Amino acid sequence: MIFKKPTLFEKDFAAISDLYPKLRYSRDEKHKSWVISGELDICDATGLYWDTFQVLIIVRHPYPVHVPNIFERSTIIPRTEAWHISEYGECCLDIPHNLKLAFKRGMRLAGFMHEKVYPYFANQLHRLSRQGYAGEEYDHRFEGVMQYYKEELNLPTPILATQFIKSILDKKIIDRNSACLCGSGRKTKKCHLAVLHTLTELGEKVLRHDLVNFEQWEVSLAGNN
Amino acid sequence: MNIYEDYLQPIRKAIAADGQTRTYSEFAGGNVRNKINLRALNEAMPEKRLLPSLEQFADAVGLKPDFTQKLGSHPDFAHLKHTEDTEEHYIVSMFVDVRRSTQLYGRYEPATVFVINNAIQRAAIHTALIFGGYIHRLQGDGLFAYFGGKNMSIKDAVNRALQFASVYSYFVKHDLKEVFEQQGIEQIYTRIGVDLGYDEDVVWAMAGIGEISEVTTFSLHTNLASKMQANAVSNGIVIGDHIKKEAALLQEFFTPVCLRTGKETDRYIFEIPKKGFRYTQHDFDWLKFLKKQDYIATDFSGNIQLKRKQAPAVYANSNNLAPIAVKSKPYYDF
Repeated sequence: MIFKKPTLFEKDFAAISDLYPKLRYSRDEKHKSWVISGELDICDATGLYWDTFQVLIIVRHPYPVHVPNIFERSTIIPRTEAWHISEYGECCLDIPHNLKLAFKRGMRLAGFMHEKVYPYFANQLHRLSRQGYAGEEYDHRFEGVMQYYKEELNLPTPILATQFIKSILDKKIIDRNSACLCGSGRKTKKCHLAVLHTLTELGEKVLRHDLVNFEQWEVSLAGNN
Repeated sequence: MNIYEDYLQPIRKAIAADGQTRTYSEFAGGNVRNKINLRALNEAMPEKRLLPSLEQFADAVGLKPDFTQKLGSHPDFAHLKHTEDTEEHYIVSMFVDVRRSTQLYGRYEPATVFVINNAIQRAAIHTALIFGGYIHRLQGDGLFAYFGGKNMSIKDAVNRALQFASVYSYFVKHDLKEVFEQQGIEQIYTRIGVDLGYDEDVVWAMAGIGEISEVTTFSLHTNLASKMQANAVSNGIVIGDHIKKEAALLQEFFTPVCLRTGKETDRYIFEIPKKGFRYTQHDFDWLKFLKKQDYIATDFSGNIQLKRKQAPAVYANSNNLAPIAVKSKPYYDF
């Protein structure tokens, strides 16, 4: 008998099976992905059971590089934008920037399930019990991206965000001790150095996409004025 | 999963009263050695009614216990009593041993041990009745039970036996352990053996004479269940190969005992080399099995919880969802 060595994904799935025993996986060779499906039971912090969601999670090859896509198949969550879910049940767990960074920084299946998936569904149940969402939510579409730049990167205006993005895309070498691009008068190392690192980590593709959107936003604002 | 909470309360009260007053206000009056007050115990734990916490469990499982059952009398074969008749019919036999419970006598008054043993036994009996088991014999705080009969398929009998064994193992491993650990008592644990004998393997008949008799099974597989129980680890369940054969969808939960012990001689519980008969024993991963049941949920910390039938608004507070839910900050861009 020949035993095939388990892949990293298979090992990671085995590691979470104790916490998510009603999920199973299969391989989709055509789309080069792993497909996780089954029931996700949600209990509150005291352990009391609330509800069960039928879920489908697509984990694209290679693992763990891409952010998995998750679908709710049980239709417990109303299919409207306000509930952060598509009409096909795809769940928008977080701003893509955060998810991408999390995986770049080593997030694996266990962290994804525990820090992103389970809280998302618990939050939906919190809202369904007429309490609203337990915490904050992002605005939809590009407004949400701008919110991310403002709240998480401390770049409150599109002009500032554009300036930072361009500095990365233009591969400008920024001295840690030079004045920060934001114009605060402080040295970069004491101001937006971490933000510059984060933007670099996000990668050129994301930054170019955001830059186009920021510029279009500026144009539309100018047009309105 | 606090389904046995109401069965633990009398134990806690008895332990709290032990040796302090020499009169157990809750369960005994006057001289504890001579006047154990069964009435008080029955009020706390009625014989023929599930306590509320276990009733919720039965409701979630969707089964109702049959309290008309009598000890040692499987109703489908009771007519064999005082006859010379025999019948061949399949049965699942189970031996449940509660280990290290003798140490209770070194620690508590006999009256306290009486309450503890009764609570443990009633929890076992009530749970077995929920899953349609028949208690054939009580042995201290352990028991010998049958599952199955003329109106139940073999597969259902096997499944219910495994469910009972799993839920009861959970009770002893988690709930009872917690109570006794608080008292500094070494772990009390179960060992369970389960096996299935097919129609051709089992003879039902009367054993004994006159009133010193019982209707019981004469079967290699009843004997093997007892032997396999002795081969289980603490809080472990060992099952016979027939059980594995009838549980086609549960193969992932069984592993031959020899893989645990590392001794090939432990693979078979019984062999007749001349006939080429070798009967394998398997460890049963009951916790993994339990976590897959429809009536069980696994919480954020990996503990098992009961999936109640009622809407959560009836028994839960959404404020308790908040500590987990607040970590989510959803977005939308489709």
